This record gives sequence, structure tokens and C-alpha cells, in this order.
Amino acid sequence: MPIRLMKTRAAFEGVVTVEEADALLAWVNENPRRRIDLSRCTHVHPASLQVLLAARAPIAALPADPDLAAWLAPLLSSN
Amino acid sequence: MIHSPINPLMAQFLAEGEEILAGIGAQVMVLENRPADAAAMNELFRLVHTFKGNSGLFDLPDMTRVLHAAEDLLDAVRHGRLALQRDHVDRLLAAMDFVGGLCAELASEGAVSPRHAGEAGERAQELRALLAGEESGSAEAAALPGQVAIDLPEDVLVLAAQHAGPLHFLRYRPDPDCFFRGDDPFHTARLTPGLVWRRIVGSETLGDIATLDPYACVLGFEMVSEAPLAELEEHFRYARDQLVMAPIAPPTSPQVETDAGADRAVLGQVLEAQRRVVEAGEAGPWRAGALEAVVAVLGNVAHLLDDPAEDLAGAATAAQAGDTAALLALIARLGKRLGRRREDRVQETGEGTAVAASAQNRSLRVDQAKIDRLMGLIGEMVVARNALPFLAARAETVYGNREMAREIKAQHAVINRVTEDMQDAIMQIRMMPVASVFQRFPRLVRDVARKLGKSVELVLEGEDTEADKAIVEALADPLVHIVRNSLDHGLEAPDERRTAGKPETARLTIRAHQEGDRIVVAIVDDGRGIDPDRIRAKAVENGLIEAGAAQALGDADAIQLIFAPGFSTAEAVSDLSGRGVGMDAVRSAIHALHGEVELSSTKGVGTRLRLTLPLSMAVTRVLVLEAAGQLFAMPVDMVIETTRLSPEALHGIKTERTILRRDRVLPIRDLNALLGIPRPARIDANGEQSLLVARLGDTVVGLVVDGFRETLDVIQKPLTGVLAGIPAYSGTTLMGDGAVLMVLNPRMLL
Repeated sequence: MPIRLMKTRAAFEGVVTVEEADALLAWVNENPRRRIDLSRCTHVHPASLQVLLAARAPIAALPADPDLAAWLAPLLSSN
Repeated sequence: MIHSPINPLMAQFLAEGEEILAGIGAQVMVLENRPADAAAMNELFRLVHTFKGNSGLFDLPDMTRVLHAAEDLLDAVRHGRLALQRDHVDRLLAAMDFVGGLCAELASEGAVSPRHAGEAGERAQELRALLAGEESGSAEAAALPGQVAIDLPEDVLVLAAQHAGPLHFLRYRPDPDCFFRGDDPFHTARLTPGLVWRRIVGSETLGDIATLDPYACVLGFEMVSEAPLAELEEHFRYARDQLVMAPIAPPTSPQVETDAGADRAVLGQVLEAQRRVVEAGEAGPWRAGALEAVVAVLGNVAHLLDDPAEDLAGAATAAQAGDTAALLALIARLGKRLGRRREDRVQETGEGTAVAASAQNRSLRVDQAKIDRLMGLIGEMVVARNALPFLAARAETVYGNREMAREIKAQHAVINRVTEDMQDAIMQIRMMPVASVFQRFPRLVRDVARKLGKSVELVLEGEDTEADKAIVEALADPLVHIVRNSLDHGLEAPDERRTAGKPETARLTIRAHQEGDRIVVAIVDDGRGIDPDRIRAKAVENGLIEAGAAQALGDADAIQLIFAPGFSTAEAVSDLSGRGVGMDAVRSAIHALHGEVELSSTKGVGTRLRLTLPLSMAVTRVLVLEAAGQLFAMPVDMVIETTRLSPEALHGIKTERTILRRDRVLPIRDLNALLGIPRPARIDANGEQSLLVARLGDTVVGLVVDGFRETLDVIQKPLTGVLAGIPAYSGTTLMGDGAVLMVLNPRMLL
């Protein structure tokens, strides 16, 4: 599972596919203050990304992958 | 909008705007005739782009909007996506007229009223419609947006401008249901080749998390890529319909040129700083480090300037040992190299840019009032100079000191030379090429010719002929009258020309050249010419002349009747000409400038009007003459000769007195009588009188005066107040002894 959904945070790892979007949405809806750790993420499918953005989920760490970080940083910094 | 007085920035914007609009008009006309002229196209785009940028500095949304639409249209044309057609030109010109109107309002009111917003919208829409209409034609073009790259952040545009090589802007808007097809548009976007900038858009339209459908794609991706177009096309081949792509202004844009220039300026400063460090020469623990830093900087600068700098290492060692001469020499050499590179750059760039750059550096925009003040001061200087001969005469006659008189005269010669040079210099400052007036004609001729359904080729010659600003500006209205008349009455419609065996396209030539101290402007057309019989008939009909007198006139004289006040041949008053004010107004305007109008015409072949005007009105050479104990002045260019008149030579024809002189009958007038002075002119011991033979247009008249004095160079002051209504005088000036001299306007005297 590329996302480990925990009590206070979710850790994204590797490639997050379209399959994770539903579970992520449910998890975010449980408690919108849970934080997201993207540090080990290399790609995220836009369906999951839309969940993150709509939820304005607070970001614990940006991706270490420089290219992904360049795409996401301006968007997620407002979360 | 805040009503603020025009600040200097705004004033500059308006002044530049005027030039830019004129330039735009000129380039559009060039392009209409030669649509493939890339230089003109680039220049036109640059002008519109600059103007748009300038307008953005102020709160002028309407102006910016229209200019922006024009810029987009031109950009499409420039990149060959759209062919410039008459329709485009019409709308473009109309839009620029609108912008010109806004500028005029801005200049007079200090602000643009918001009521123009509607029209601005229409104009912009019109331009965009051209863009959209044309591009929907081809499948590929359909993907090209009219408004690409507008919402790119400023820093990205700057980045793009500094980027070497072409860039493309991509806007990728995946279909909302693309996830169900197994697409990962983010993945596609991330793998786009040659990305230099990217962002995700559309997150603000996601809505609330509670109602979110994560499987409907609302995100979009915007990118700037340096990859070749073909590669980008290939990458997005499956999503071509979801992608818009547009080139970003290539880095050859003028902005980059300026940047390069700025870079060089910075390099110059860097070199200067290194020189100061080396020269400082203070020994200290940091000296070695400072020199090392200098050497490193110099190495980089040398690299930038393509200088191998083989001597750098040696110079560095010597400098560390305390001998900085070699290092300083190296800095000087790099400085020279930098200077040379800068010149090369100016030479390399296109002629237009080079001219623009040098004009920008060397020319100075000065308020005309300041020049006028300088002119006034020189005028006073001339008066003061003219006083010196009086002083010399007084030194001799009153104080009996001939030596002193001679010295004053010698000094007068020196001051005379300097003031003459000064006059000449100030006249040069006021000189401007007639091109500034001529440049409106391509547009005018085009518009009027289209309205009249005529085909006209306009030929402008001698546009760089220069004359005083006042003269050039005053030429504009008469020339417009003449050109309109020529288009309306002179030139025939194409079928009429064909019947007459002429080429369908009529030819109208406006030619300027300098002849001595006069400027000559000729307006020549190859139209139907003026029919003397028709002119005679019309003049009689208009009650300007008796039928008998009209018949007695020769053909050449008959056509001059078109200058008579109230003359009109037009059957109906059109908005072009035919109100019967045209040629009369032209002649008075030219006469007011001390100019002449000559008209010649051959029926069926064409008409030629020749305007002759002084190059400058600044300095007039006048002949001082005496009448009834007072001094008057007559412009020397009107004077043919001064002579003596003996009573025997006088002939009386009816009530007119005449003499026969050089085989011509010369009417004789008394200046005293003309000026209303009830005193006969002085008769000398031989019973003779002084006679001034003057030319007034085509007629030559003898004026009896009391006597002649010297000639003077004077700067005339126009009459003001109640005196302004007296047409017999063209102005006044001060004599060297402080006396006021009235300058006669002989044309109005008779």
C-alpha cells in the first residue's frame, strides 16, 4: 500500500495511484486536521491529489523528489 | 478614477504614445502594401507591445485591453498563423484611432472616462474575432488560443525573456472523465520534455471536500517548455485536443537587447570596482585575499568577453608580490574590449534598432517653451548687437573719439559672428523633417480612396527635407486640404481612367525639397486636371467674376480662380471636400507663413500644386525704410529693387499711376497713402522720389517711400492685443537704438 494511513498522519510512499483516492478521501473526512507526509512519495495520481487539495490537509513534509516538489510546493504550501 | 494633473511620467507616456501611434500607422501601411515584410511586422509588433506595456503603468484598463487584443492579433500574424488582410488593417487602424482618442482625452482631461469601456470591449472583441475566425479554419490552429500566456506570472515571463532559444507555453486541460480511461494526466504533464516551468491550476474549483468527486478531473497543468515543437506534439499526441500550445515571444525581443546592454553596463561597473581594489594598494592581512578575489572576478569577466587572458596568472603573481601594473593593464584591456563589444552590438543589430538606440542616447526631449525662450533671448541679443554700430557712431560724433569707434566696430564684428552662429544653431534645433507631416498621408489617402472607390498609389519623396517646426506643423492642414481635393476632384475612378487610356491606379506624388532658403512642397497628381471652362462657368455662377472678364482670362489664369474665396465646383457637399472653403483656406494659410502657392494643370493629364515656404520664420532680413518721419521694415525677400522715381517717368492710366520699368508696366502706390498718413512722400532736390519695387505673389508693385535705411536681421514678435487685428503689419521688432520697428506685411497692405 503506497499510503500508510495512521492516526495523526498519512505517509505517502512511492507512486500513489488512482486506487488510493477513495480510502484517502474517507480518511481525510474522518479528521481533516490529520497531516500528510509526502517525503517518500515519487508520484501522486491527480485523483488523490484532488483529495489533498480539496481537504486542505496540512502537509508535514514535501516530497524529496525535486520534480514532484516543484509541481506541488506552490499548491500545498497554502494547505 | 482619480483626476490627477498630468505627471512627468504620464507626459512622457503621452509623448511616446503619439510617436508610437504614428509609427504603428506607418508600419501598417507598409504591411498593407508588402504583407511579407518581416522587418515591418516585427517593428509593428514591437510598437504595439511597447505601447501596451507602457499603458500598463497607468490605470488605463480600456487602452490596455484594446492594445492587448491588437498585440495578440499581430502576434498571430507574425508567426504566420494569420494572413494580414484589408479587413484586419481596417480594424487595427480603427482600434489605434480609438487608442489615440483615449490618449487625447488623457492629455486634455488628465484621465480617461470609464464610459469608453463599452467601446474598448467592442474594439478588442473585433480584433479577437479576427483571430478566432481565421484560426478555427484549420484543425491545428484551433488549438491555438487567442489569449495564451496572459496569466503567466511576471517572473516567468522575465525568465522566458532571458531564456536562450524558443519556448512554448502549454496549457493541458484533461477531460473531466479521463481517469476512467486509465489516464494519469499529471504523469503525462510531468514527463513533458524540456520543462522549464510548471504549475497545477484549477484547485480553486475543487469545491468542498464534503462534495468532492475525486474521479472527476478538474486540475489542469500549465507548463513552459524549451523542447522543440515537434517533440511536444509527439508527447501529447493522445491528448492533443486537451492541449493548447503557443510560442512565447522569442528572446530576440527588444527587452532582451536592453538586458544585454544592461549586463554590459554591469560588467563595466564590475571592472571599475576591481580596478579600485587593485589601486587601493593598502597592505593588510586581507590584501592577498582581496587580490585573489579580483583575479577570480577578472577570470570570469575575461571568459564572458571571450578574452583568453593568458597573462592573468602572471599578473596575479606579480600583484601578490606588490607589482600591480600588469593587473591594471589587464583590467584596462578588458574594459576596452567591453566597450568594443558594446559598439559591435549596436552595429550588429538591425538598422532600426541601432537607429532607435542611438536616437535614444543622443537626443533630448525638450519642452518647446524652453526653445522659444532661448529664441527670445537670442532675439534680444540681436537687438543688443544691432545697438553697437549706433554706439560706434556716437563715440565718433558725440565724443569725438574715432579710435574708440573703431574698437567698438571690431567688437561688433565678433559679436555679430557669434550671434549669427547662435541664430543658426537655434534654427537647427527647431528644424524637423517634413516626414512628421507626410506620415499621415498614407493612411489618409488609403481611407479616402477606399471611400471613393478609387485606386491610388501615393508616392512620398524628400521626407527628410527639414524646415522649422512651426512651418512643418502649419503645413499639415493645407496639405490635407490639397490631398483631399486631389483625391475627390482630381483623380478619376478606375473605369474612367481605363476609358481615358490611363493605368487604373492613379498616382499622387507629394514631394519636398529645399531650394535656397525656401522649402518647396509639390503635390502632383495624374488625374483629370482642371478644366478652365468649367472653372470659368462655376466662378460666374458663384458670382465671383463677370462673365466677360471670365472669358477674357487665359486658361492658366482661369484655373487660379479656384483660390477665390467662396469658390466651389462640387455639386454636393461631401464630407471630404466641396464646402467651398478648401483652396481659399489653403492659400491664406500658406500666405500666413509667408509662402506662395502655384497651381498649374493640364486637362486630362494632371494637376500640380507647388507650395513654397521659408525654411524658418525665426529670423527675417528686413529693409528699413522711412515714411512720414517714421521707420518701417519690409522683408527683404519681397524686395526686388530700390530705385529713384522721377516725375517724368510717371504715366497715368485712368486713376492709376504707372511707370514702364524693364519692359513691364508697374503700378505705383504711395506708402503714406496706404498707411493712411495724409502727407505726400518726400521729394529730393532733384525732384525725385524713392521707389521700392516689391513682389507680392505674382504681382509687382512700386511703393513710393521717403527713403531707405539699412537692412537688419530681426526676430519678429507677433502683434498682440488690439494691434493683432491690424493685418498691415506682420510683427514688430526693436531697433538697435531701442526704437520699435513695425514690419510691414505688404500683401495685406494693398
